[in-house]
Amino acid sequence: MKLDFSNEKSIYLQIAESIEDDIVKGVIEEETQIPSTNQMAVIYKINPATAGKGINMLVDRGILYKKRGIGMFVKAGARELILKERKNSFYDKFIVTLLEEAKNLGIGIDEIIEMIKKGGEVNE
Amino acid sequence: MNNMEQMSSFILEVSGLTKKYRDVTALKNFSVKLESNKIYGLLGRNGAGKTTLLDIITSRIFADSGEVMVMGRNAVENQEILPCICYMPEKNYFITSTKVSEIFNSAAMFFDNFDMQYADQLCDKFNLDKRKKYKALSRGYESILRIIIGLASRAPLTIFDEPVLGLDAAVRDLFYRELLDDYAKNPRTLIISTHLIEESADVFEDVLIIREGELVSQMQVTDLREMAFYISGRPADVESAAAGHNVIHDEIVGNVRISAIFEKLTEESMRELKSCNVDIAPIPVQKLFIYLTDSSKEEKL
Repeated sequence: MKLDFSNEKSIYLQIAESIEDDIVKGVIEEETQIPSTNQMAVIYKINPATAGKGINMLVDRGILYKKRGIGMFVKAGARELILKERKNSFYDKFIVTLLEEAKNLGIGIDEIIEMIKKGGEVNE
Repeated sequence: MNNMEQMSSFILEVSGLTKKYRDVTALKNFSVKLESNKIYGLLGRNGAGKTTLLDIITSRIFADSGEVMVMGRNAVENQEILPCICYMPEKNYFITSTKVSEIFNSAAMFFDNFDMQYADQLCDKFNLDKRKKYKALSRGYESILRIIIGLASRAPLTIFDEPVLGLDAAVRDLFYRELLDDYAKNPRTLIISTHLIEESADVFEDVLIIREGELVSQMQVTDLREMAFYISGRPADVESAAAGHNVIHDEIVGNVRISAIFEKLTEESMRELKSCNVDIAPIPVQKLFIYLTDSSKEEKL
């Protein structure tokens, strides 16, 4: 998990996102326990309430659940759920900003498509 | 007994405090309520009234008028309440020839929850030699001593005035982590006044911002961060984007106008702003603090 304190995103959103990232990458597996808010507080030097706010967001979205007296666990199916949500927001998050910046730079749609194809080949 | 029940949810209730020093008014009809088991940051410029407020809460000095209630009871010179409050002020009045270990012994006599074992652990971590006399401590180790007493006292209301003065970055870091760790194990209410906001802001749950003896803002740190952002771009664009918003700072750099906005925006008005052809960027907390405490300005927060 990584936090960027100069980032415009709130710390609790970053907490939530970094946990999601770890679930997507398989660093934290489903049905395993995540660090407690108090552990996160000490690691990142943040108030436990802030860490709790990030964790609660994931509980509300059905990604984490609480085992009473033990702690927070990753729900079965959480990874699928995150992937689905992220695909849905892919357009808003990446394509819109991409097009905006391309417009600023005067890059046309065809040129962008060329670039994407080239990038795709490199990745394959 | 509705009244009593309401009172008990706040560990500290200060109402209508006024304190004058000759012709200077240090506190003006100051009121604030603090909930139990939260970490509060007390922020304000030099001379804003922070130390006066803390001194009054702990009966070091007395207000001209107003009331201080701790755990629902009048705290002024209250022998039963004062041991529940551990105040580590900027200036200590320890006897200079006493040893650190003796200072710990007196602290243990005064504070019911004082944990000597924990104090010893902290001495090891912070590298403080208990056999040293108080007068032999450097500026930094004086701060470390205050930190150790403050933490080890585990008082229900623990107050640090400028705890990290004279400490290097590594020791400050150790302090924040130790504080959070022990707070997690032994929840209590902490008030920490500091100038070094950028590094400590996220340690606090709520901040109290005080300017010229008045409380200008009390809010969650997460809200504070979300409410503050710069918009910049061509002056005309920035002006129309900022219209109707709470602008707390304005500057022109070359051909670019930068306005600082402090306001909780709905997603819709945020989207509107983004469509105004302006750049939006977060305001560093330290900067925000300067804008909010600037006495030459009179914005409504």
